[in-house]
Amino acid sequence: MSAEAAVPTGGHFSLAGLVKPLLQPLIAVAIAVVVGGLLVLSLGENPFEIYWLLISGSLVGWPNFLVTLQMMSPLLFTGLAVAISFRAGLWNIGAEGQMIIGALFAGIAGFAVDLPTFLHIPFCLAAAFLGGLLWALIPAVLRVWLNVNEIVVCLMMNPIALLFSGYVSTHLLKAPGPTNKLPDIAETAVLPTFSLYSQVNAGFIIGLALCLLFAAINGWTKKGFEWKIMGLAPRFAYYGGIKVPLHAVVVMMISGGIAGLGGAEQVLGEYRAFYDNFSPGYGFDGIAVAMLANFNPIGVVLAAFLFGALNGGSAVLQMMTGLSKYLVQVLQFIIVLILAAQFTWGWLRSRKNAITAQEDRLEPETEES
Amino acid sequence: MSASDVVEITGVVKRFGDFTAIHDASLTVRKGEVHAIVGENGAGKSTLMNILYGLLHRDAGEVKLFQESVNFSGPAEAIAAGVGMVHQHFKLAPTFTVADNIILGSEPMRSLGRLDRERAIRETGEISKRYGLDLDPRAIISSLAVGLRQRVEILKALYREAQVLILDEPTAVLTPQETRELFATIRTLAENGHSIIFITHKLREVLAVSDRISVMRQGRIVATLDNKDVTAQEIASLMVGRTVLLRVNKSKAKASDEALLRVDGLTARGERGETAVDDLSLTVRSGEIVGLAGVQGNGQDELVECIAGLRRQVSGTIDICGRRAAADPRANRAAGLAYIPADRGGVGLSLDSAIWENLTVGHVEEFGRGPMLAIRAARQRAGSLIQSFDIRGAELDKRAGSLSGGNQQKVQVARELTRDARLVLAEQPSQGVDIGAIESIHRILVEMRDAGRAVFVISADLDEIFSLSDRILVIYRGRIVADLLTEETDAETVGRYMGGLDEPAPPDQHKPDTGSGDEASAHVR
Amino acid sequence: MLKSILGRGLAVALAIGLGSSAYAQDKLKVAMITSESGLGDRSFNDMMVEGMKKAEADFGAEYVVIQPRAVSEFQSAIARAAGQGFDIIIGSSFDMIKPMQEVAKAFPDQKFGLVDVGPEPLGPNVVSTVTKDWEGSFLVGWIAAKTTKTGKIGFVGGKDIPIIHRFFIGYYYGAKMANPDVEVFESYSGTFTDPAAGKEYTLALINEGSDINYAVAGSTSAGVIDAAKETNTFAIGVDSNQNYMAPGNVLTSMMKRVDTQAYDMIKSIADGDFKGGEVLYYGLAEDGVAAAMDEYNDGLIAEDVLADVDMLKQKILTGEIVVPNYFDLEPGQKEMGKPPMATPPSVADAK
Repeated sequence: MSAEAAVPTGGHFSLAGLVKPLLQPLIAVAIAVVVGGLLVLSLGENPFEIYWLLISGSLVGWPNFLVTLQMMSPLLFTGLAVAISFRAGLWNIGAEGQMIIGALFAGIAGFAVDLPTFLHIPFCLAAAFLGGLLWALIPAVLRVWLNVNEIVVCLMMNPIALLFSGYVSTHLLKAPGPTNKLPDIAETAVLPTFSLYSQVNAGFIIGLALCLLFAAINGWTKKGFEWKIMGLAPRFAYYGGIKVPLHAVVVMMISGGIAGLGGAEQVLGEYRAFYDNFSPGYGFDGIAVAMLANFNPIGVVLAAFLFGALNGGSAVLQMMTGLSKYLVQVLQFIIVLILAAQFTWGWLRSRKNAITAQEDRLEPETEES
Repeated sequence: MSASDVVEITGVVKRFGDFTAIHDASLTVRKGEVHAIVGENGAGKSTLMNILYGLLHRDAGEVKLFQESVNFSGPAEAIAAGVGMVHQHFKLAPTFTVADNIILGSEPMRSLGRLDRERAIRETGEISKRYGLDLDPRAIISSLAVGLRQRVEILKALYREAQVLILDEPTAVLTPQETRELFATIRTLAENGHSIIFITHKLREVLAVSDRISVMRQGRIVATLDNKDVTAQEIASLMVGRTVLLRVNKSKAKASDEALLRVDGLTARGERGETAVDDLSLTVRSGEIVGLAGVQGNGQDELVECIAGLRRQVSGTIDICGRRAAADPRANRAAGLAYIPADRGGVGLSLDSAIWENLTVGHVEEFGRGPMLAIRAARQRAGSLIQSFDIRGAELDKRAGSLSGGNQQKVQVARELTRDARLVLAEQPSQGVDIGAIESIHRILVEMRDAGRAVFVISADLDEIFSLSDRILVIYRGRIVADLLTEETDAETVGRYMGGLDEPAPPDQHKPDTGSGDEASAHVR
Repeated sequence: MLKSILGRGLAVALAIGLGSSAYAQDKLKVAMITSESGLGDRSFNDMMVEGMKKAEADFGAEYVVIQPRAVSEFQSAIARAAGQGFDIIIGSSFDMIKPMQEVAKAFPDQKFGLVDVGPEPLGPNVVSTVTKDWEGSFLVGWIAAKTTKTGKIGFVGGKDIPIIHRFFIGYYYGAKMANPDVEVFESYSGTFTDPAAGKEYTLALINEGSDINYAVAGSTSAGVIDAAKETNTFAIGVDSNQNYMAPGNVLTSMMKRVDTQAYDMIKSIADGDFKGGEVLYYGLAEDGVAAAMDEYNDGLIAEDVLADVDMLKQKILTGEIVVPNYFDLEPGQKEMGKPPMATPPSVADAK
């Protein structure tokens, strides 16, 4: 985590404290906008027109706005999941797999169980949370007890989740018909949608509430405080009496559970059945969202909104200009690239500082006295 | 200068930021000699050699090699000019063979860029025979013992036709048998006309192998002597120096009989699996400051980590304030341990976190309101600590890393010493701290003692040990080799123990538990 | 109830949101919605764009391609295109049935089209198509029987289920009509997603002497094609043109011509004879199925065999040949199709 990202606020707010954390992501977005504009220009289109279409296609008018909310819904969950773990120094890049398993659990709980609505939805949500949690538990346990790098394990768990859920939805429990999916969930498990134009559903509210909840946890609770210290300086946290291994497992489980809830939002609210290969990469987009958000849950809401708007506006852009959907993806990739560059630069810088500090420590220490 | 001088360093200065690591150092090394550079850790030995090897750039002065002024921009140039260096930590590819490692970077090639592996193996075999270094060129590095790996490093330098070979603490990782073999190799090389620069802080080794000896202290070469003209005693006093001690105003210790730290038969392993702490026992009582002196790398770090709960011992026990300690910092802190680590950036502070957060870690329970954290109260307390400990330049929301070293240290001290902890473990408390801050930190430690706490200071700085401690323990090779009353000893004596010169120590001075006789003598008024 | 009221309110808002359409009013305007795999899939989406291009050339139709990223985005993509002045909105995925029905209900004046789905009508303003894959299979069965050197050909289905039997029956009928002596092996790998199993089953068929194997098995088909490549025999692809997957070893592909189907939908708008609620059947005679011919299988099929295609087409058109649809067969039925022919044992012996 870079120096800027670490500017603490806690319970204390100042103007600088509010603006500074926004600076880095804003720069990334600004550069992406400029590069994207040049790209559009090279395609012979007017960048201002294109950007206006993107903005109006995602924000102006209820239908467009609701589509944006739909597009951002899964990112609220995966972004928050990644942000929570990254903030605590755990590189959970397995949100994709955890979301898929959560979706699978929700999909099974949705069709296989007969319950009244007020029980069925919470039951499916709990199943999804549990699914994501279990999937995240594997890298967490390997990390804490066997010191296996969680990045590698998470990375491997993603395709395993995809293939496993594919096996279930094309073999074990496949619904009749040409599509590889589970049977439709019962009406009692459906998260209600509000509009013909958009599949945005009650899951959006859940995601938003979770982000607010974790903003409060991060800012005001002992756990939130300890997770932050743990993320920035794990040895310090351990020496300071924080149960780092235990917390690491807990944070990974919460992170996985939230990603799993993202899967429930998809299945219960948007698809109404578990579809094989349903995700176009929401878990990976979540990493970008979390980075853009500086691992801040409120930032996750803003970053997810930005990505949602880009994707929401994309369809209108394609409709009105014939420009491909890839323009929007290119914009997203540029943002990610710049964030990654900023991140790596900050990391290299702090590493360099650490090395210099170490040389200082090893060599010239006693002379000062 | 004479024609036989292969290395001539004149007036070299090296600064790290505001801090000067090497002051005006001058040194000559002759052809075919073994030149030892001795000095305490931190005296600047490695820094100076890294400048010669091109790893660091000097800020002033001149380096001549074979009569020619050089200014290497990196080790590659130094190697090309005939300088080789074997670092303390080997830089070998463990899954490759000996021959592969030796040729790595200067591979013999056949036409069309093909690697000539046969030639590599043949040549490796030849040079290893020539210098009496018995090595199988086809052996895989990871299967070799440490001493043999070191030979590979030496051969690697010789393969590149190094005339000047720098060995940085080469014996630190070797067994006595391997050390003897290394010394034989060094003599052979010198007889073949190579110049060996041998960095160490072990006086016996210096006397055993070197032709000339340069002593470094505080970034300066304070003397260069012929081996035959000098005694270990003289080298030791040159190393330790006779600097004016910063004496802390303090009354005599009123140590009670209550042991707040009792270490019994502790054995622990270091990072490389070696026995770093060897059946060590010690006691620190309420109302006294005990200093642990020793050259770095003799097991202090491992001992401290065991007490702090950051390392699991192999055997032995540790009792903190009467409670059996485990490898769990949380439990040990609860038992009454306050620990000021030397590694501020890694262990003692979160440099990227706000100062108030750094001051709150370890005190979280005090500000817990159920699951919530009373941030306002925590910040208030942090504010008053900044005031009372006079942490300069500190603001609640500033990064701890933005503070100077001394003020970072004060943050640690403020946090640790405001805990209700009866045992204070202070590791290098004045490291990287300016003089004004040292005084106030020392004063605080003495106040702690006077309040009936037990203070255990670990320091590589003898001045600090002498100015603070009521009693001095000397650690050497993982054992306590001396238990001395500060007022009855002097720096030379302690320095000798640190260098392992009085080994084996008299039994009453290094037996596991400080006997009642010692304690009685410690309390002679 | 509430939903549809809300929907209409939102339609107005959407129109405001988008402002005026960017297109001139007199031109024919088409929106094509791809499946989630999007353009570049070398399958239905790419093929359908070809239909768009043809319509552009023939009627000056302007088209846009909207590529949703996921099945969950189908409905919003269709809904936001509805009421935007497109003459027709055409979808290319089976998973669009429900979303399109929903949107079509809310926009009764908007015309929709959906290719290659089931026989159920989708709504008064939606035209849908059924591809007569059994006729396509009939065609490749004919070609296979005329091409085989061993007199034995094979079939690798994904699963032993009716929809796949439909392909086999067509294939069998075509092969037997071309050459009553040809042997047709029937096998099912049990999976649509395992190329390794596909290869295994195919190698077993080749072992028994089959030198042409028709793969109707989703991604399992890749294994069938791989086996053909390894043994230098032939495979036959399905759905889209798969000839490129192993040039020289894919004899042809039974192609569902979704481009023709989409083109015809646009044509019906241009001609003013669009009939909402219609389900159109596309077989050999309607150019709704074809044996794919391109540079990858050039010269693999004899000229006179290729010439047969027109003859078969003609006979199907006149009703002289009726390729049996598996769903019309009874278990245990001994004869099938027109002219009648012995049913394969798997059906004839079924109880």
